[in-house]
Amino acid sequence: MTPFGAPEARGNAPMAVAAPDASLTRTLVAILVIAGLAAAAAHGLTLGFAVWTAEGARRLTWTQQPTAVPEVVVEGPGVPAQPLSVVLGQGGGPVLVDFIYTRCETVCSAAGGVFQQAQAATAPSPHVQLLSISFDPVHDDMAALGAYAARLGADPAVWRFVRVSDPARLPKLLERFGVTVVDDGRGGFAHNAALLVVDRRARLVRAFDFDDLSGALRFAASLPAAPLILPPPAPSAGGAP
Amino acid sequence: MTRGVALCLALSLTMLGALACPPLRAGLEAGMRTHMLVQFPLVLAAGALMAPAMPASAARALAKCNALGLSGLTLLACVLAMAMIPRLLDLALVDGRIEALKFAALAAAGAAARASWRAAGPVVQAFFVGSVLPMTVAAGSLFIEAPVRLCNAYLLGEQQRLGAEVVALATACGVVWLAHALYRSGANASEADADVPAWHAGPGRRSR
Repeated sequence: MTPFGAPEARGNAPMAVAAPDASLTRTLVAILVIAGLAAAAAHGLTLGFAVWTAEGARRLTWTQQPTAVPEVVVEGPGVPAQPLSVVLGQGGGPVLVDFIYTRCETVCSAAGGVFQQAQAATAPSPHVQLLSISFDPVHDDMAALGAYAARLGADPAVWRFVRVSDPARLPKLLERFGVTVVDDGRGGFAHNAALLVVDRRARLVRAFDFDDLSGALRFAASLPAAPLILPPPAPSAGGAP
Repeated sequence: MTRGVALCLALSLTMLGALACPPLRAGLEAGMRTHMLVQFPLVLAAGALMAPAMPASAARALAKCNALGLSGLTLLACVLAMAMIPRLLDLALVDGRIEALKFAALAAAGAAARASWRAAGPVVQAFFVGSVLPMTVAAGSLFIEAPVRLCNAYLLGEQQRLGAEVVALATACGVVWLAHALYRSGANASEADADVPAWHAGPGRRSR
């Protein structure tokens, strides 16, 4: 640090009329301390002046530090109740995840459209799987999820739909995924929708805007896939890395 | 401590207690506009009410580091700048430590403003107003223009309304401060008006 703390000869500033005791040197030190503390706090709040919003922080944090999905049990049409990490690992590769509620007319419809495109793009070789998770488990029962999947023409080999089996676990799930759901005042929900990329070890690694499907697919395709569950069944094979 | 000071302290602590209690806190934080335009100013005001109740020795020690109110206004400017970072609003809702820090910083900034504003005088005040208000207008404009929600917990329409209100509030603050400063300088200078200013050539001034 600079030696501003050293007291100088001219202590009392003639200008400081209102507070004759006030010293410009001390004031300068105080300002530097305040500015330093504020800069440190702002540095922490913005993750090094990189993000200004909670959404940006969520994305940057995953990029720097992949985050394991929480241990919650999910279920859906064609998906028996089992831990989310197991469902995510079944394809052996990365999974694109989004959060939905089937009554949604706005963002989720767009999301459904994006996932339809993603399905079309990945269907020839389903290296990348798709998973839509409902955050409205009370309304979105099996029938509702099934009807929603049918409406979007989802191919169950590529694109599956689940909800948490125990609604009490939903806050945990949303917190870990960084999803905030708020009442939109018109009978629906507003939520920070994004394309979330989960790697084959069920870790959140990146989030993309919905209009950046190609970027999300390119990134997901660059992640290692497979031999976690598809090793050649050689008799002496110990276990794939 | 005089009776008035004690009353102000009691009022300030009551305000802070009420604002920190779940019903009022959740109510004000349910909306982005009430969070920023009602809760923030009330906590600032509670801090300002508290300042005169500070022990005299502490006040003297602080005043020594606060020539022309510069330190206090720096603190106020820093806290106001942080309060406009959207992530702070979202974090304060979900993290109790951030919420506590937010309350403490705003109350301290209110007290610092009270302890510094008079001492600052018109020139330092003008510098403060001239830097903080444009910053506020810029932040408000961002809230208006942003095509996406800046806070996950708040809706886009509310964010845009808040932005417009922040711009209006900053403008109003600037106008009020300017009017007040002009009024005061006018009151001080009224006797001096009779003569022609020194830079003017005449009439009433001798030719060179």
